[in-house]
Amino acid sequence: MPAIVAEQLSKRYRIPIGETSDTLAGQIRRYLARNARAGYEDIWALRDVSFTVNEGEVFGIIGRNGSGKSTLLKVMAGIVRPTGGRALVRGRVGALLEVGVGFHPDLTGRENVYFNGTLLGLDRNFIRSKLEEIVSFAEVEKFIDTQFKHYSSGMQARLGFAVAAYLHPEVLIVDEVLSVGDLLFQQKSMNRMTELRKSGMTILFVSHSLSSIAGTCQRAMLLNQGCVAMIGEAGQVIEEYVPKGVSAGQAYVEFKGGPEKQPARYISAAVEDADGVRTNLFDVNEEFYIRLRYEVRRPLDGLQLALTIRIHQNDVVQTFDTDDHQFLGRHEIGVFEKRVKVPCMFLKEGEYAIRMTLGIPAVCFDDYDNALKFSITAESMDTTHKSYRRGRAGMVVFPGTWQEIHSSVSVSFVSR
Amino acid sequence: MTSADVKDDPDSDVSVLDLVDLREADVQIRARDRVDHTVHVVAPPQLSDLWQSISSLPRFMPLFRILVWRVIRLRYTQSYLGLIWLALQPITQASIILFLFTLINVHTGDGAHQGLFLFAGATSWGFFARSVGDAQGSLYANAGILTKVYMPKIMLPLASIIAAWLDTVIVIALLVIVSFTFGIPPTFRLLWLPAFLALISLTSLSFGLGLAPINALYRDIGVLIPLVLQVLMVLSPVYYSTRFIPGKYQLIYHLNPMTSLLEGVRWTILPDSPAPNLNFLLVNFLCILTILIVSLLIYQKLESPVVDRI
Repeated sequence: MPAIVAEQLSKRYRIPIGETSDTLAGQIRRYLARNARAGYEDIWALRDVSFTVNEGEVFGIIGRNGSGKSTLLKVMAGIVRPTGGRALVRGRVGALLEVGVGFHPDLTGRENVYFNGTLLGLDRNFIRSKLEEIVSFAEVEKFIDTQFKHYSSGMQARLGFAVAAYLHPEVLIVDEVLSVGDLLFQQKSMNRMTELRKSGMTILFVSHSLSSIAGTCQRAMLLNQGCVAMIGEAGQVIEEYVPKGVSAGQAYVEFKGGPEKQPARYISAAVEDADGVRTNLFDVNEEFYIRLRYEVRRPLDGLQLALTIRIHQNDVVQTFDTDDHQFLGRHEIGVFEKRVKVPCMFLKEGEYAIRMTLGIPAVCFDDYDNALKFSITAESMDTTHKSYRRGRAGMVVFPGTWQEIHSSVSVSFVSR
Repeated sequence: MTSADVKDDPDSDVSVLDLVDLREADVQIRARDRVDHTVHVVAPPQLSDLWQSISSLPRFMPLFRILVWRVIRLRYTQSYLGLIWLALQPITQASIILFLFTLINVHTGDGAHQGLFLFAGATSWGFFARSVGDAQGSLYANAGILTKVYMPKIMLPLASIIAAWLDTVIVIALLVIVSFTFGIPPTFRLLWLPAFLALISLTSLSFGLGLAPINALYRDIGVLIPLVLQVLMVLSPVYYSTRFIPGKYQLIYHLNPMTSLLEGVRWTILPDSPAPNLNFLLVNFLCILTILIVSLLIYQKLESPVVDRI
């Protein structure tokens, strides 16, 4: 049973160019000087977007910035009217768009909860019964009677989510708001999202964190410049979105020297296989190394190298610090080279980027993001049914060890 | 055990599930949570939106109350004088004009009571101008929530107009007090005063509703409108009676809806003020309705661009 059906949704923004058009005088001048009607530029934020979401499904929407994701959510939430097409939504819609959206700044937190509940068509008694749950989930007990405009953005986001999570609309539209708040809150939010999903809520979820999408959505849609590029199973759509190809040239990088007074700097970095051959294509089953060469210009205490490994340009998988080992300590002037081993059966298939930093505690000398890139494939094995298959949720390859504790076979009746 | 039974008892406990096949439990849990399956349509703006907005107002009543209350709070509690200012304005204006007219020995009112005549005009016109001013700025002033909250946006100018009704109570009180001050106790005609004030309110809605989106889109309108209102004031019998208008222009003059309404207000207060001509009153009423319809159309057409561009 579909909860959302969208047909050919389009949204055009007419951007005026030339003479300012936000005064009547200006508008008249434009009208008089309308040579070649070049007064407006049409920007299609959405173009013929069609999709269907079933009841109880979590549907992800991914795409680059400017692909129309936020516009689509605003249209679905009824805040912005489409230029063409239409959509049907069964049930009440709760929307979590930017932080604080849907909340009136001059009302207090408590009033805003009632306000939102009323927008959802709920009666005051029901809202009152849920108020306590909402406030304690959002952790804003002390501030529930202060005006919303005085809330920090974290509090705003938490209250927003709490309202959506406990006032239980049938359809929930979420735009990346879950990334606000501390770790504990994010965890609470994801848990609550799962509970909501189980209770049959339909969720439209936009995020840049592809691992969240993979972890919570069954199906997803890829938007590209306002058009639907692909709709399908979440994992496959993420595949399509991830920028492909890591060129071999990104296996090695050299750095130009910085200012002379910089106490230490990176000279070069490389990714290489177990035999020391510079390459950046590895198999899941293969271990490889990251080699760093750096120069120290003044004697330093506590010099530290750190590598951050990122998958899909967004999510951090692992960091390797030299203070894991005993290299921390005094460095004299000189040129040094170190390498760290990345074990096999650790990182999943995918494209990775490395960020490298160099410094002493609290002072960073060098910071290079996307300095190196490498990719991992699974040619040597069949990962079709493995939990660490590409496109499945999860960051690392770790089948875990299963132990049989107890099993007993019971007699079962088979009906004829 | 049907889902309807379960729905009526939202706090019923696990015991219900004991009686029900576990496969059904999922459906029952959903039923407990007051599921609502009304279908909303997301579509480009069309004329029927007006009807949609207005018919969905009851659902948004608590929000509407909050918006009205907010306008009232802004108007009356922000300035220290607040309510006193509301009275002070027409009193000051009427006093100045009275002084002027006395100085140049001009009598513009019907009956002997020039002071009350002027005061009635100043108060009524002030009420009208304030309502229009608030309504036309309502969309721009609420730019924040326009782009973030799902609600019938027409509620914003409407809230300004409704908030202005508080004005009417004060206006009536003032007029009664000043009547007594001038030694002219009000008659039963006073009972018609709310009716005329209601019509003035309707007129201000007609103007304000159409102007609101125009003001939000074109920022110079906000400056233009007070000027236009000034001109309109001169063209209305605020400080003079309609008998000063030459006969052949009377009809055109009465195309201005405020003419009969102002005459009406004065008729309710001053015993020797003539009742407004019923024919002209009807013409005025039709004018108000025409302007209202035009305003509604303008509003509907411009509502979506306002949200896009504000």
